[in-house]
Amino acid sequence: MLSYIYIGGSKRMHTLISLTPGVASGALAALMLQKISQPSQIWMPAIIALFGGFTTLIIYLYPKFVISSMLSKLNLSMSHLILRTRTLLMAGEPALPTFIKVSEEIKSPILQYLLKSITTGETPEAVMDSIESYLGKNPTLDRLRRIVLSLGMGSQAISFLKDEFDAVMEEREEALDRAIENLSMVTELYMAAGVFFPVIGIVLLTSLSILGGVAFDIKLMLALLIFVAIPMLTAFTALIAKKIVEEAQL
Amino acid sequence: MKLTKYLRFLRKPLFITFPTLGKGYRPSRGLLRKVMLSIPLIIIIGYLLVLTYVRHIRFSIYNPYQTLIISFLIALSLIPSAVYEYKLEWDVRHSEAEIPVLLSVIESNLRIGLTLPQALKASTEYLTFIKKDVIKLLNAVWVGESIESSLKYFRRDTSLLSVTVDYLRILSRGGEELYGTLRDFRETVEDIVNYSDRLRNATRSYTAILYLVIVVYLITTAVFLKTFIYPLSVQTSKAGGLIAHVSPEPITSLIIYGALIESVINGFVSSYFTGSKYLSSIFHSEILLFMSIITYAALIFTS
Repeated sequence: MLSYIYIGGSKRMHTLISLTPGVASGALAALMLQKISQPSQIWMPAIIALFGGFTTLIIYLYPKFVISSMLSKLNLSMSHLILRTRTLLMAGEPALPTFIKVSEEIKSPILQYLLKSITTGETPEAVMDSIESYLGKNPTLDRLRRIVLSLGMGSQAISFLKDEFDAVMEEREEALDRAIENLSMVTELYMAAGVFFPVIGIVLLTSLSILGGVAFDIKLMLALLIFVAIPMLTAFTALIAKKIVEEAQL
Repeated sequence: MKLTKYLRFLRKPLFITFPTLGKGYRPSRGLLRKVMLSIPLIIIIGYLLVLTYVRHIRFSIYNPYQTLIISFLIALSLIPSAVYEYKLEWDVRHSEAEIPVLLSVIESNLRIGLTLPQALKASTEYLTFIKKDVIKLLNAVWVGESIESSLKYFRRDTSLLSVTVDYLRILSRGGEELYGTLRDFRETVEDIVNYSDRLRNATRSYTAILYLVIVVYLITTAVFLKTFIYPLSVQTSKAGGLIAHVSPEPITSLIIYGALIESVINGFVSSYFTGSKYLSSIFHSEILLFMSIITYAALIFTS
């Protein structure tokens, strides 16, 4: 069941559970605020409230990240799914077993759920409705619905899948143009994160520590910059680049 | 002489023989990748053990000589991984690019009335990367196996190769109406191959940016160390005054670590920028690492 992406098995339950840390930390922070006598102690409840809020946000958004990853995986394998199904249909293989065989090779949780439900006797349309109720409306799911429904069209499915494949190719062409435009921006970001930030950081921190006496531990600052900040920043930029290029990939 | 002559080894399949597991044992790609990527870690742990228990020298992350050795060891130990991944990408890319050629030759030979095995035989003249697979298939057919069952000898490394094998299976069943679908299938495969080429060419220039990142880092930090930190360390050790004493070793060492991290990450990142399916861009990490090592070794040993 796709409900596993939500804590408690449903959207409503997930929202309730995700709100718990935020509400609890908020209440704790409010209690602490009442007992504080000096303004300088205010940082403690502030940190607790921030931590709780952040935890709530992460728990609340987690299914959205999972759904996004599932959909992009399905979208990436769509061209393969269509081409392979069509090729086997051209050979006169039966439609549904062909679709099941091709889908089994693609490691997509959405397809796995679809297959499981179809093989237990549910109609493809009902399964797609159920998937959409969990994941929401999406162009990739619409395409999957069209492909699944086309399996019942007999010999016309082959030409329909050809049209779908052409549509996927057109989308990818557009995505490629977009990716090239966006990558220019990402490379600028990467230049800043990979060169300007470390170089300016090293030069500035070292010069300030030399000229300003022993105001801070230069070794620790440089170690933090090199072992923590640089990998984090470059990894973050790399993930953006990956996401952009993935949309254009077949 | 052409460069391709030197790169001929890339055409040969990477075939590793494990004596204990029998000749021709082929470990899975994932296992090989994990083993190769863990070599740097094993070598670094070995180096630290030797340094501590054999040479009785304390390891310090602020020692630039030790940092250079670590960088060099990482660069050396990444070579098998870089070669393997690059070879894999090269092989897959060229094999996929040959599929339309294979289909085109089959199409024209079927049209003039040859059988599928004869058409496959004719296609071997035009193939390089998937030639071995076709020959294996034909050998199996000639010793009596059906084409459909011989197709198990054809690689299914990528989805495109896999679809092609499926299509050849369809074709082996014969029938005039199936031959009619050949052109349609070839054109679809051509579209995919051309699109992949376009994507690769469009994003290739971004790899240059990653080289630029390291070059700027190397030049700036080398100039900073050579013209500011090293002279200042001599001056402050003599006199003192308002300027604090500068110890150049920790700064140099940390800067080398910075170059090491940037080189390795940039190599991996370039595969994201270019949309490569494999970690073939570790090859770039290697080049960047050796560039960094040479720069800092020259800087340290001439100061």
